[in-house]
Amino acid sequence: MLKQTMTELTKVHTTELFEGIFDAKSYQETIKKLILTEDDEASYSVLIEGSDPPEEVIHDALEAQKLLKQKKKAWGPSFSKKEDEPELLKDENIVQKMESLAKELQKKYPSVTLKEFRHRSAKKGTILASGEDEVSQWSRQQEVSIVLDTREDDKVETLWKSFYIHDLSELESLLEESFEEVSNLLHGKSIHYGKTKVLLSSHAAGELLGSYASVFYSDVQRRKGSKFQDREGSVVSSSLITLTDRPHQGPFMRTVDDEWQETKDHVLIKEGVLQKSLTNLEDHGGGSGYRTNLSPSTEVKAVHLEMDPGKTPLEELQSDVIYITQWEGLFAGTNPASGDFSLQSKGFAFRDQKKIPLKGILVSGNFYDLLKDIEALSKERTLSSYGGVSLEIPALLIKELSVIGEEK
Amino acid sequence: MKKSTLENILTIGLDSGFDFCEVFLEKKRMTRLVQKTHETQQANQEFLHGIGLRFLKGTEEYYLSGAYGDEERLLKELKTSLETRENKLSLKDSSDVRLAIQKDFASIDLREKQQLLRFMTEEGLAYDPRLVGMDSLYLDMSQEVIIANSTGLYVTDERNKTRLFSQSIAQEGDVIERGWVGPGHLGGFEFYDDLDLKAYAREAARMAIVNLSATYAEGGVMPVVVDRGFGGLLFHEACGHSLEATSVSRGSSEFCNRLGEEVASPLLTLVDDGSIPGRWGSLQVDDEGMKTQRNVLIEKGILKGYLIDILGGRRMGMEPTGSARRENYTFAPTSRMTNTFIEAGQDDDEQMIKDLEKGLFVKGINAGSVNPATGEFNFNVGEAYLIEQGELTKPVKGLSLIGTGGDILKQVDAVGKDTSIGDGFCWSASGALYIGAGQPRIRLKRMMVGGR
Repeated sequence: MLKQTMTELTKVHTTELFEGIFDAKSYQETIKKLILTEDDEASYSVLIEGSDPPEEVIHDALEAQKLLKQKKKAWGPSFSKKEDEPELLKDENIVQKMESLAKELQKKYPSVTLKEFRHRSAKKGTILASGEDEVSQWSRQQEVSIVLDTREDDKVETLWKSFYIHDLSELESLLEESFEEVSNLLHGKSIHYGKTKVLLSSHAAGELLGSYASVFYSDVQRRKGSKFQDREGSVVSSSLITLTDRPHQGPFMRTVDDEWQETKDHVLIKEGVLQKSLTNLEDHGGGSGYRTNLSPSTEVKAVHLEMDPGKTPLEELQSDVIYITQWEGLFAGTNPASGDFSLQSKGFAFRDQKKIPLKGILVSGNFYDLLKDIEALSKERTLSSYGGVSLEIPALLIKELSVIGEEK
Repeated sequence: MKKSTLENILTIGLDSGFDFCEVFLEKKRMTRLVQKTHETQQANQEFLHGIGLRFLKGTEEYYLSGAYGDEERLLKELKTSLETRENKLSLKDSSDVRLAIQKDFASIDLREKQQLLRFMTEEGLAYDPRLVGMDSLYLDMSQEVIIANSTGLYVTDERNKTRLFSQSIAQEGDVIERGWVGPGHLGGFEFYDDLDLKAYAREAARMAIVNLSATYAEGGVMPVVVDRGFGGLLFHEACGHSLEATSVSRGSSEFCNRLGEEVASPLLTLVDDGSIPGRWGSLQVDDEGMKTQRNVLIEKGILKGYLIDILGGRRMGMEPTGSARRENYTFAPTSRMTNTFIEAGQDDDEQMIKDLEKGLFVKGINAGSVNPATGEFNFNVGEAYLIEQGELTKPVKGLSLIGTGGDILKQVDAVGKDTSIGDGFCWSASGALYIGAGQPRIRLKRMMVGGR
């Protein structure tokens, strides 16, 4: 009776180290979520976790089918593509490794403490099935997040960072960079610069672009959530910008989307000119239709956004500029429909050959204007993520943003 | 699950060397309808049925969770089995604290729920021809929980919640702006019998229309007046999170070891109360089974208390306050806010604005966040006006307010006479939770305002 099924399997190991006091493990294994759809035309779903569907659920599904607007849900060409479930990376020694790395770095940065450390290895699978056809997708995620704390007299500074890594050997350099960053911020000042030239670090640029990724989604554009609706072929950014969604890359990689469409690289901006938006089948395209929490209909989403790097080393861009390394409250302070953002930020002022740590500043601007005001890109890129989208974006030099602080 | 099985699991935990064990059983049914202007886009029903097992040894915590029926597998993780033990722990008689409701969500036809959304769309769009969309979400939830622990506690509860959230979309030329409303309730579908849906729909529409004509303001440091209602989220972010044991017990809060100190303006009294009848942020017992209560956190400027769960209490040497919460069984509980608000003061609302030569009036907010260790918070404005020569002059947009909790609490120089609480969600360590945030109209002498 129930034709379509979708099962999400998640296997997660989490290792946590709090303040070096105890070593606890939380374990969450194979939570099965099953989505059942009555037939091809009903946009109604039932999510069951941990038990068989009761009769009343079936009844509700039939009632809902009568109620809802009928719309043809295409489930794409049927083909089978089953991939092997990957192995999780070994994590037995990660707690000891982090502890010893932190101890070594504390010799160099005595005021800094590794306050909290979390390590999460997950393999996440999605199985789409219809009749005898089945597609399974697996991605492997290795995520590390740290909280660093630095204190001196009554001054406190903390830094929270999260990284997706390929290998544990990457931890050392990531941890050292973070120790240095938080150590500098201890003496950070809130300085007012007004409208000024700003350099966004690769990480900060990635997170900001991630929070505006939806402006490239056809369903968001249709609902007036983006200014890029019907703008294909228009110049929307500096000609230095080429931005591509590469779904076969990154920690959330997918070769087939949740509508059984094969995913492909998709150029969103080419040398400043807006290309076709990402679409799902409902928006007469496909290849970027994903379910959020197993909802019945798909929404458009990018997987891995890459911006072509520039040719200038980051160090050369760090001259006479406000360098932003960290945002606070991105989910609250950005508005994809209008493009406006106003964000609490941290970073450094590079002025007169000096590097002045900054904190307690507000950086404001408009995302659509920012794209046009990009003057240079670094040749370096780091991996960041925001809202389930991974990003590799170079550091971006912006002609002008508003930087508000206490001291004039 | 049988009482004897619960007793067995808890006994196994104690026999394994843990000094506190807890079982959290959850059965939740949720309905979610999404209306995008004229199209009902989604109708979801979710049935979650799961179990969370928690074991404490001193201040160490071990947490396991899984779908219902997996307790055998979970116990294998503890290298034990469900075999009956001798000298089994005895739970007290079950205490059922569920509130009676008049209209069970399951008894209401989906069409009736959908009609609420359609009404919001029609009323919102009718407000002004520049309204181009009205996206609404209907949510109801019946969460049955059984909480048992090794102290013998054995509580059952059913939490019924419903909320209607509407977001208006207005467009004029290239300018697109939004407004929103989101009333919620602890109780059954009877909430909608007396709710003035038309007024809510028009309020969301009004906000979007106001923002169409809003301009960008120059940022800087200035006096700020925040209106009564959900503006209280300012204090939720500025100091509420920093008063949760989650932060305090780890030494990651600017309010650690400061009980009895003057931390705020003497005009301020901050309360968290999960026991207010009918409120969206309320619940009968917390997720460790303790009855919720009124917790005075700051009284006339003096720090009086924290929000404490069992584990946080062990770390801090303090008693729990009925503040342990979790989104569902996959999360271990931790200290979280419920309905957090500033108590009414004595100042006149209009005079707060008349006194100012220049400043900002914040009528509505969108969202905010905080770093509890440093107290640095940010707060995004949904509707605001410039104050010039004691008058509200023009609407402004694209603004955020930032500061540190410790500083902002001392900047309050006027507190109005009428407190109201708004409804929202809070995302933190134990997942997404329904909360209330409120205050009377409040004036702050200086805040940093980010503009362009």
